Amino acid sequence: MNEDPAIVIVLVMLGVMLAILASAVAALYWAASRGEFNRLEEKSHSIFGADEPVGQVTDSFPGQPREKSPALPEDARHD
Amino acid sequence: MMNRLPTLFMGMLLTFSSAWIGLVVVPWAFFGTLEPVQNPSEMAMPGEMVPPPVTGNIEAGLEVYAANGCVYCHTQQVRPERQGSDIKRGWGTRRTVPRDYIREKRVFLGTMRTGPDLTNVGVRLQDPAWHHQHLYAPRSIYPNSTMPNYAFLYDVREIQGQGSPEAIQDLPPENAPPPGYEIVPTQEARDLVAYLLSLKRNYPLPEVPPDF
Amino acid sequence: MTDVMKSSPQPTAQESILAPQGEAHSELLRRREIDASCRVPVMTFYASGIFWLLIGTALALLASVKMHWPDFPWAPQYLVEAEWLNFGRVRPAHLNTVIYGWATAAGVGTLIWLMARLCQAKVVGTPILMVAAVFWNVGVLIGTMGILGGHSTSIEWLEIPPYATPLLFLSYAMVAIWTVIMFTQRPPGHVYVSQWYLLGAIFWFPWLYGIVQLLLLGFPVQGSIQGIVNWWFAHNVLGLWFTPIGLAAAYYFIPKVIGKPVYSYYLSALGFWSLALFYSWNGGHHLIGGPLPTWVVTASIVASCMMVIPVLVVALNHHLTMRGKWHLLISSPTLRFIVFGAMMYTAVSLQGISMSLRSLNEVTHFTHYTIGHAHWGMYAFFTMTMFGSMYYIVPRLVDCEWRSASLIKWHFWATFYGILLMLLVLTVGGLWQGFKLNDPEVPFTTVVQSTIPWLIGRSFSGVLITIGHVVFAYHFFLMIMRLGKPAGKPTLFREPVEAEGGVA
Repeated sequence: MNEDPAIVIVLVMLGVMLAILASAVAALYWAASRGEFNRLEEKSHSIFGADEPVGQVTDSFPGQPREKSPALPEDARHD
Repeated sequence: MMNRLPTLFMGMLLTFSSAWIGLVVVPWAFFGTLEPVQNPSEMAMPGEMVPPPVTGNIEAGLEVYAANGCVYCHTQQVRPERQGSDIKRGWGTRRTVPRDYIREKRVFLGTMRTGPDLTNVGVRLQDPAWHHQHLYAPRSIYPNSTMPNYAFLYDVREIQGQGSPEAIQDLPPENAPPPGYEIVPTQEARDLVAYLLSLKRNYPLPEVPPDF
Repeated sequence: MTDVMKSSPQPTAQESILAPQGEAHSELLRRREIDASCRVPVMTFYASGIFWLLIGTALALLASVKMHWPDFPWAPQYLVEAEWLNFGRVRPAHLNTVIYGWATAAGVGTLIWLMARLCQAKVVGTPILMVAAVFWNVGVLIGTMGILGGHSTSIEWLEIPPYATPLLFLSYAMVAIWTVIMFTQRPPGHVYVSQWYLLGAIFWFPWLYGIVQLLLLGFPVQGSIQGIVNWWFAHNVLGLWFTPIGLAAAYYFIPKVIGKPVYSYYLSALGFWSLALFYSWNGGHHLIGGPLPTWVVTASIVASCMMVIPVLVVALNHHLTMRGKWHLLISSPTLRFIVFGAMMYTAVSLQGISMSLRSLNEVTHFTHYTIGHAHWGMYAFFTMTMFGSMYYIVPRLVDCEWRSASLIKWHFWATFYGILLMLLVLTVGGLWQGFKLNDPEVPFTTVVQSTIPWLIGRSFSGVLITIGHVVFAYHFFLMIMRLGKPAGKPTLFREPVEAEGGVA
């Protein structure tokens, strides 16, 4: 059965996977040591900007007025 | 969390590959190279291997089965006695196991039972003429059946001489051919029926206790 | 935001009302530039997706009707007799056109736009995407014709014959490469949760697809292992391709539309990694009772149960983000579709977990309940989420508003009631069918008969959904022809802050 090409493919893939597994662990350790996991909550603000700030509703049916913003003062003004 | 592309990719690969190894590679290594065995039945001839080979017409019929999507309504797996009513309905005498499928180049376990299970259809229904009539006009046999008709696997042709021995007989008037014509199976239909008749997974296997 | 100035002279009358200035103005211009750079590839993927959606819907209706009226005598006999329109071919053709033709194309379109936005960079490498779009559509076309022509592999979710799949794989690889190139364009320090999901999806799918093609069609593995590989793929394509794209859209559009950051970014991180960790182990639960060693299936059941974590985390996060903003569902089409989709994600995931338990699976396995589950995920969650994304993205690409609020409402309510009705009849009808199947005293023909009223209900739901799709396709066509309302404030410009309440 050793000539079965499927076996060869599976074994090669298994080896590659194991090598990559090891490098993944190393990469995770490296990322953690560089502080990549810090200050998570700030990133949730990255989709807002001066143009479309927090508190700005950005979608409505065509031809209908959008809700006046800022809707909730604390949302819009805390920064 | 992750702020670098390599890290992201490594994490994804890690999780994905662990599942791949667990669900594909390991099962494959454990039982991916099963061999046919001598039929353990006392009545079996020496050298009679089970499961039987899938060759010739039967193999061609397997392709017809695939091309026409039989698998969307018919399963080919029997669950153990304690699960469902598979065995009580007479769809098999024992559960099916991996070795049952090793001869087929494509396996049609199926996920839907709009129609009955076909694991042992060749045991239950052994008459090729029945299968041809049923494929040609399912409702001529079961009026409430919702099976599609596979009339396109048959030719309607003028009767030559005594007529073909394979021609479908006894069709009700709404399905019968015009006078002087007969309905004969194409090669595809013959292959498909050969495949269906070959579905007999009722032989004993060493790994399955009877009634399991 | 106190940096908005109100004094400088305005170039045109219209912009004098609409355009903000200062930092906000430059950001607005930048954002419009980025949106414009996505126009050609995104619209190409979207338009072809909607084309396949219509084809797939027509095939679905035909297959659905054939299930309860196999010979429907009042219809043109060609529909009954034609070889290529046989149920066994139409059904897989439906599945593949909607999965690959529609859902994947819509997903890639959304992915392109989200990547450009979140990387804050103009699209580079448009030709790669255009070649990918052409390959993809040619692949789906050849594949669909192959299935209808009798070359289906009959491997569920992989029916496309092997002569068309390399095209799909190539196209996919090109999109993946493009995504990585795009990701390198981002400014440092900004990786939003949607991007993780997108990168995950784009990375997982070629692996999945490549491996199963190899193991099922290239060098087929032996016997019932084909079943494991098949369901490992079919389940993962939902969980590791469509789900991450759907969730990426939900994680972007819900906060963006309501103007409020996602409730907990920590939870979103937890949700992503637990999805990645547990989802890919599922799939084996489709084979409960099947000819496989019990431990394979059990491992899969355990992983299915672990899915409670990512599902509840996502549900909780979206719910808390939406808190206090539910009234916006009335005014925002995007939010309507996506919040509905996100709720359905929670529901379908919990349903899927319950279906992996042996006791319930014993009943629902092999019945229409499973078909209902598939539509719950692919339609109620993913497709509705894609519709929502399109309502947000398309006006920003073609520079005009959707033409008609009532067409959007027609689309929403027709698909909303259509899919809910479908889920109801398939779920209840499936349970009914399952209980009868498990009772050996009930003859099989009686079981078949008992499903027919439910299947007629399903066809009716299909008609509703078809109406929704036709309305949407017409509306989308108007947008391509730039026949929408002139660009106005709902999508393209925000009103200056000072006009709204004098923040400055």
